[in-house]
Amino acid sequence: MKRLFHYLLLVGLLIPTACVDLDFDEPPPGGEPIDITANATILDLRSWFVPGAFTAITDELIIRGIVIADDASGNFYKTIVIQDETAGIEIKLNSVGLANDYPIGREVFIRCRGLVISDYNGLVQLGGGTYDDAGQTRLSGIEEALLKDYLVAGERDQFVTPKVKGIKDINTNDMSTLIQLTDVQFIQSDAGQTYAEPVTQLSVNHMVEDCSGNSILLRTNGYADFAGELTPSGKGTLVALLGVFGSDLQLFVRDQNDVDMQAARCGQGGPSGGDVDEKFETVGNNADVALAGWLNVATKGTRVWRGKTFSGNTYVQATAYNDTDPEMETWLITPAIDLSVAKKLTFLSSVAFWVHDAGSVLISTDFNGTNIGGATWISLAAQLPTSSTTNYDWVNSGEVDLSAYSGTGYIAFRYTGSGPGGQTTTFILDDVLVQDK
Amino acid sequence: MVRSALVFLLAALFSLPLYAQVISVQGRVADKVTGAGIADAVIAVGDMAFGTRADGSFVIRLNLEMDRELTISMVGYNPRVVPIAKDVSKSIELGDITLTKGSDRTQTEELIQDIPVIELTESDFDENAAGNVSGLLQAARDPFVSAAAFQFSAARFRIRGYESRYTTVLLNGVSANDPGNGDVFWSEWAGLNDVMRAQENQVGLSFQGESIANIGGITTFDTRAHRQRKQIRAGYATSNRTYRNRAMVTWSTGWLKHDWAVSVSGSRRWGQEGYIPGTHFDGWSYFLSVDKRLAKNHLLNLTVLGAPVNRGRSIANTKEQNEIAGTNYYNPYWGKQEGEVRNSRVVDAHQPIAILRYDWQMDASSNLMASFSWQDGKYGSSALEWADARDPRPEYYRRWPSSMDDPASAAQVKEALMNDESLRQVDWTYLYNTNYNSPATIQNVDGIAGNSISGLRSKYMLQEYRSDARTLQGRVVYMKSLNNRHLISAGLQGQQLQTDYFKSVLDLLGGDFWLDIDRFAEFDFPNNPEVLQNDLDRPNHLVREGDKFGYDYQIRSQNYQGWAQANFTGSRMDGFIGAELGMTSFYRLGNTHNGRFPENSQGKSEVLDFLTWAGKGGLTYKINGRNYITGAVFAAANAPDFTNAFVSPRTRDQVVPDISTEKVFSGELTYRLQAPNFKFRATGYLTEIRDQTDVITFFNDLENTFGNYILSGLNRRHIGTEWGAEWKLTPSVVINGAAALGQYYYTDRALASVIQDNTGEYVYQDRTVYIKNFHMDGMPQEAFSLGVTYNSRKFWFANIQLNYFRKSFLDFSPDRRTAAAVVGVEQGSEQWHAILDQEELPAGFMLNVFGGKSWKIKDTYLYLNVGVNNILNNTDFITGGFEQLRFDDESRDVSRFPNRYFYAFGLNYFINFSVRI
Repeated sequence: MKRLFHYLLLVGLLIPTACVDLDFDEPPPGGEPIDITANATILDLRSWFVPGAFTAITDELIIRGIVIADDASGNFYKTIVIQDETAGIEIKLNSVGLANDYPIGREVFIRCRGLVISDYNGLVQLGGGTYDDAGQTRLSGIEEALLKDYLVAGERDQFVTPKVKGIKDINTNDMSTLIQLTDVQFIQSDAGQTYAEPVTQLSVNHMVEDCSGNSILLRTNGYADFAGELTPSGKGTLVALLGVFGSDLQLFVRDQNDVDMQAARCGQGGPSGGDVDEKFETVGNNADVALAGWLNVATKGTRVWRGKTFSGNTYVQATAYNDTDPEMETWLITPAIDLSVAKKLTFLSSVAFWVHDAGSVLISTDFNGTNIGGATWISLAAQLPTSSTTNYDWVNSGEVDLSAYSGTGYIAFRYTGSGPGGQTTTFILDDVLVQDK
Repeated sequence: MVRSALVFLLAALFSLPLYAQVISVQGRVADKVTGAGIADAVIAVGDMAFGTRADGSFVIRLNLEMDRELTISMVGYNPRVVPIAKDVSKSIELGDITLTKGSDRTQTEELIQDIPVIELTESDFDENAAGNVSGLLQAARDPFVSAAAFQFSAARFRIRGYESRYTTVLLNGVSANDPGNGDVFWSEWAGLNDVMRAQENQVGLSFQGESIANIGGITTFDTRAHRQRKQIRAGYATSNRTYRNRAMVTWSTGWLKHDWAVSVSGSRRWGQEGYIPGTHFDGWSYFLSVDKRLAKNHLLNLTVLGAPVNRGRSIANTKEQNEIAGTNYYNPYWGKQEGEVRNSRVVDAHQPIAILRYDWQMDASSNLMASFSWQDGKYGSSALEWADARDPRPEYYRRWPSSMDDPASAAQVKEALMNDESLRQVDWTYLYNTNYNSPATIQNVDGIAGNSISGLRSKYMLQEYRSDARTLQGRVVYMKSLNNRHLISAGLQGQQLQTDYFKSVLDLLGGDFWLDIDRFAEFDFPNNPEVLQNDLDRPNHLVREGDKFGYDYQIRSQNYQGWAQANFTGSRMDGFIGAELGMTSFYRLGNTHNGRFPENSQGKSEVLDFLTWAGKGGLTYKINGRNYITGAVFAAANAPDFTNAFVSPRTRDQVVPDISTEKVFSGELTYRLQAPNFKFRATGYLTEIRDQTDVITFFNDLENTFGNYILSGLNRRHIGTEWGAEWKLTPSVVINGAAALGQYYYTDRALASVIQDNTGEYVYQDRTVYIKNFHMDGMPQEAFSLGVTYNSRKFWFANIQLNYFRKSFLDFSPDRRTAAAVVGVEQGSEQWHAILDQEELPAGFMLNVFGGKSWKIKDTYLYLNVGVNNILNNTDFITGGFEQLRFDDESRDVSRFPNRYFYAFGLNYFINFSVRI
């Protein structure tokens, strides 16, 4: 027994209890801090570009841009597009899942030395090198294993505000930058069509026009996850990147959220059939209201309705406070409303620093979409804030019956005031809803 | 049915003429000093061996025209030869035959037994079971089998080219072959070398009383406690193979008071890294066996054993990858996480088994053995999973220079990969950071409107493929010897198996949840949210660590057999005959409602039934007491493996069309010479395996979708010879040689159908696959060994062995052997051959050395053994490999998806030190 004890002791020494370390520390969130600064603009980089040639960058050029397109929706593939204050450029990467590393809004530095700048039918691209494709020299993407040699990703969520443009103002200087078109629509034959061919996964070109008949192509990749969705039939806003294919300018959206066309089509004034349900959440803080289908017009003075964000909620307001124009009158008019069925209106309104009755709610059934003064406006009986309303307390309009009106109608929120005259009440509006009664 | 078969057999048997003069010899083997009977001593007569009973007594049958001497041996004792006098003609009683303890010879034998073979089951070369030789840990005295076990296994040699399912393995009477596919998972009892010694191996088509074994032969383990040598033993081993350290302790009591016997063993094998980088190993093993003699002839045993293991895996690589990594043992599965090596592909398994065995010695000539077992456990194998993110695997072909179109970039990438190891390994930090930055809100979670959950949606995670089996078995064997010339045995056996197949979340890598949708369906059906769902009953399901996801189904299988066989001993002829009849049935039970297959994913599938049978017979002709000729034949119909019966059981219950049993025919002829200083055996064999079906699921990278490849009508032939010789030059010098000359090849063209995994639709059907005369892959078909052993009287021995392997072939992709694969390719051109020819791997040498020494201090034995394999450190020895199933049918360039190769370990060693009292 004693011997047995000795052996067991020996065994105790021989079998250590914790020898294979399989507990792993999780890396800290946040990643490594970056230490890089740009020494050139994208425009500087583009000055290396020679049309039709493959030009290797031989200088220590470091550019910085914000990602304006990634591969999340599949409309861009193995490609990101970055933009700085001077220009934008498409970067070809031979990798997928790029939206994880270089999502829209992320700051990216690129060490350009060793990369090659060229174009694909006019679209300027920065890539990793060249290869031969059946006799054709082509630009290759930056290989995955080399990404960290060339690209350094920085801060996230630095979104670029699109440049507002008219179709006829778009030119190749806008190439690979984010632009916003207002009051545009898919041409009749392209409206209600799939963005691309989801089954055959072929790309499709659609035509987008403004109300003056200017038009531009919008191209969608068959691999985009919204390829099978339908293009809207209405008119509105489009945010897109500008691409080039030969002599054609063509737009690319990042995903479907870049297309917001719910208003009545050009010239029709309705009926669009569309009701109004506007919470103004897409309006930028302190930005003039520019919603698809809505009109925001100063008929006296220069001020118009603006967006305001408070405590996570965005609403719109108009105020003559500190206005130097002698008089102020601004109209916020809904898209056309089909009144062939009975409708009702509700909205929230409020005031701040009440000195006078500034707001009124009107309806017109003969408004042509542009000429406010030439239309007949009838005041609607809605609950509005008064002198006793506490600052910023919402007042519910109550149900405003529109069943007495027929045809195509527009509802206007009119603000009147005068900065010099001391009529400076701030009038606040939110949650405008027109629906079947 | 069974009974009538038995009657038929017996009738057939008794009609054979029997003229031999057979006597019965009785006696008792005892310890010379103590006089105690020695149980399980081996009594060898010619080429047959018997064991003594628990009290040391024995009764054997002796053919006087052949065998005139008994060799009695027992581990720990000097062997003894007992001649039978010439004038004996009737049954005799020899009385006590005493053995003296200890000798250089037995000590040396024990040393040899302590040298483990390279346990392929513990390496990663094969996800499943190893070949059929690894289990022959303490291989038989047969020089060929011994060489196959000790020398050839490092080259993945398989005797006669058979997969492990063609060898029957019994563990205390119950089958250790997986009921699903017949494979043998030796790792389930790895690390228990001390207590798995009581085993018997028979290779090929010989008679074995406990079973009608398959064509590969049979290995039986007897784990009963009283069969374990009475000892206390502790050992420590160090190695550079799959683990670095092994500590083992064993205590076997022998028979105790009140008719109890107990044997306990435990071991731990561990290493932070094995021979291949990034392969950790952490395994425990435990064993408990308790015998209780209930009455004089009734013995009950309970054995419980298990071997929980957690080990990192490795993979076969392309030559390009190995060249860039600078080693043939490049392992892309690991990566550094906060400075520590972490393997992404880890096997975590624990499948303990409990066996209850009852032995009833009914009378002097008959006994009954009944065994029941229950096995339950976990088998998990991890892998990275990802969604909406790039492939995180460093071995992914698009990351390697050969896939790149731009030569300048390729050169740059090559340099980067060569200089920066982290680019060749898993970037865990990247995976975590991606997850940290993927906030998401999932709408309508579990299909509940308005149920939206926000958090970090893991784009990467570590998943575990699980196949958790529960097996219930029962087996009864009856054996009776009739008038000392005939032995009959019969048995009934049944197995019930339930295996749960599912995936579970092992580690979300910093994220909060995983969205359980199918990323491939997302690609194939971008606008159909239903189709994406892995479970329509719980759409948009979020899973967290420990949760099941992806798929979840069960295979329920059962099989029953009855068999009977008879063996007879004649003067010039011995013979046996046996037959088995059985049935196998199985079905799939789906637990989830798959969005791709709403109609046939959930619930019970069609039940597949197969009638199975086997028949076997053999004759031995004894030219004289030293020269024997044996011939045997075998035929069987085996049920198909259920993994080959369902097209894609992960998603649906679609059954492979026209699935049927495979037919096996085998014959062998052996000449054996058994002289005092010279042993020789030569065997020729021919085996036909027909009507096999193979289902392979593979990812078609070009289509970015999974395909199910059904290969049917596979007919193959295994033909060859085996040679083994052992020549005792002097009492201390033994020369041994062995050779296997085989040809294992497909005899006919096969048919291939491909079904798209996501839709169940045929991509094509019954395309001819031109593989006639293609070779079986995965082992050298020819192997040679020559060695010399020196046994010193001073308790040491040394062996040096030179091995040579050739005719090893690469696993081929059937898709490349279709007419469609060579459309537009000029017949006979280089490209034509590159697509169609099967690659033969280079031949190779391997030099192995092993030796040992023992000391005896009072009653304590000390053992030291050292084995060094591949002493010339040949790191270019390819043991096998495969062509990738993807084929670029646009460029038809086979180098686009290059072959992957396995390499044998370079110089590797095993040093074991143990103490025994």
